[in-house]
Amino acid sequence: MSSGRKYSFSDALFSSTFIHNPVLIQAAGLCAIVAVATTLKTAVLLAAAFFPVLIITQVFACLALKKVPRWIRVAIYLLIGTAIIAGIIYAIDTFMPEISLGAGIYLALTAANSIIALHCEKLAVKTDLRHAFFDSVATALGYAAVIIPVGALREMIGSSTIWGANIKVPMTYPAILMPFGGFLVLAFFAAALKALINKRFPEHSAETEMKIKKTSVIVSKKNLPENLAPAEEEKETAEAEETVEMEETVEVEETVEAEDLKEDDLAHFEPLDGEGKFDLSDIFAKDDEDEDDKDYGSAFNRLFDEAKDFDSDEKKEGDK
Amino acid sequence: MQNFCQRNKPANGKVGFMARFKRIKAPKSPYMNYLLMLAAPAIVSWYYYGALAFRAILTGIISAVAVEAVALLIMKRKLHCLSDMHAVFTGFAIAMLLPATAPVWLIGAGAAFAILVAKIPFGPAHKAPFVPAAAGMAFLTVCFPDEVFKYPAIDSAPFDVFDAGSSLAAQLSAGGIQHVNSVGIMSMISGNVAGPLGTCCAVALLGSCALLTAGKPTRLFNVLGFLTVCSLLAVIFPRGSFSRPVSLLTELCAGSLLFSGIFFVTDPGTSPKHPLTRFIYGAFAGIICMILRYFGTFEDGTCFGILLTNAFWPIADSALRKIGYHKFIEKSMAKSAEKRKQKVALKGGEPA
Repeated sequence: MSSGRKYSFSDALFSSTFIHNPVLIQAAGLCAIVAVATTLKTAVLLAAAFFPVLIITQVFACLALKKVPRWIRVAIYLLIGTAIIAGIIYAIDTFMPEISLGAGIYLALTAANSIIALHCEKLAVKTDLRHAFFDSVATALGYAAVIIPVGALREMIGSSTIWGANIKVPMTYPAILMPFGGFLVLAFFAAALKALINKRFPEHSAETEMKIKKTSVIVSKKNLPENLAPAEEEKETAEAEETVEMEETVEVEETVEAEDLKEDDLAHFEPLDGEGKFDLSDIFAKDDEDEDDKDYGSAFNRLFDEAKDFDSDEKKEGDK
Repeated sequence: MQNFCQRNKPANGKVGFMARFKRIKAPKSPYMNYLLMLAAPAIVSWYYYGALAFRAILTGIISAVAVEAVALLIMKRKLHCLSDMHAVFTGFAIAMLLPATAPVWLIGAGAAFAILVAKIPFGPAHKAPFVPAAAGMAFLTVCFPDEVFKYPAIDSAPFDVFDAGSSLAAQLSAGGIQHVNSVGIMSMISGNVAGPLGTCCAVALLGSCALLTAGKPTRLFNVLGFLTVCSLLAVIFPRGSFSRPVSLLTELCAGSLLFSGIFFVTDPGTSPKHPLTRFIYGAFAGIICMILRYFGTFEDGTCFGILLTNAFWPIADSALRKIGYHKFIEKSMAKSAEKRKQKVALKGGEPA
């Protein structure tokens, strides 16, 4: 949003629905989607229930909770959400009892949806009413824009129906109705959205990145890039403090690189003619930049380490 | 470091004739070695099922390679990635885990899921956090359990007789001691029982294990850890009314336990590298697979066990680090590196 212009609804739509989509980019409110968004009816019900809960809570937070301590605010969001959703559930049970069965407990749990706390805390209590209202509507639209297609797709693939009506699908895969199927569908949706943002709005792609600090189990000082290498004046101190253990560590990594990478990694799959025809390291050059945790092997380990480091960094920042 | 071809390159710059043969003998891609290992169970499956075995294997390979090729083209990546043979291995393995009479669409669906969901999104083969073939099989098991566990009677050519629950894994989960006793030990270890296409013949699979040493001998530690734990659990906690020796033999020969232990637990992408860590990883996989066998819904849940191992190994790994295991490994690796340096120095005639 430019500084001289008033925050409009289209700005909110672009930011909260598209670039910072609450589900696909911020990864919030996943529980209900993966668990019960298996039919279009349930998805529409959850999306419709989410609108009033988010909008009213966010507007109330903006108007009345700015000076309330943070630890109380979150509880108040929950109370407001519960009060609204109780009314909605009562109305649905009275007029459309068969629909509420599909959503089960997740309809009630909309009150505790993480998107509500996230947007109230990050935006509503820090900005004006107009901004908060537009953001809440756009965020709810972003939620609906994900949950409805996911529900429709899962119903079509998993049950060969749409809105309860039979359709002709060559193959039915009931596994898609399970939570892991929901995660898979969401993952592909998120990848598609990220690719679209990278292609059409490259200036916003940095905003959608997960802020994960890249670290490794064993760090070789020799291989550190220039921007991460210690400054000249720090080098002497670092050398003085460097223990024998660190020297061993460097040794270890050299050994690992020499022994394991050449055997196991396809990045080192050597070509027959020696001219690099089959060298996968060229194709996946970007992927193969960090090859420094080969003693613990799995790619999953790396993800796990990075996530853990990210968590600890977040905690430190929070403490500060 | 010079690679093999550079070392064997003649002065005129062309690759020598013999070098090509040597290159074939010692393939660099680990999955080439896995394909050679799969040859033994494939031959046994051909012996029992004839053309049906080849139909299934070809379907698996063609579907996996075709799906990966299309995905790479869509993602505008080079098709050279296919030369790592991982797609071929994945399709081959999925075919071996299914019944010989599995329909073409079933094999194709499994291969497509393995490549599209468990491999392509993560980049090259060694970056995939889960074993793609195990993911494909798990998907098929959840979606189509009737087709996946519908094994033809082995002596019923042209294999149109299906005896539900006749496989060893089904007998184990039902506690059917009578049927297992009637099978006989020789039939059990030679694969002359109803079951998946290429996982029943324990002898052939152990032969594949010998080939595993040709690629990277340390991979045997994965298999050792896996089989040790599975055997121990089978002996200590026999299912139903099975005696301990029968339980041990039947558990190892039934379903895809042995096959998964050799081909999936040793997967280069998901397995750790240090021998001792490999052993622990194998043991960890063995515990999870056996727990799923004992308490799982399906008669054979080994593929789920492999996926759970892939998912939970980082937690086990971090638990090991907390007790200082990684320091021990680093020290031992540093020592071995020092020894290797000394050896190199001695060979070169230089003082150590």
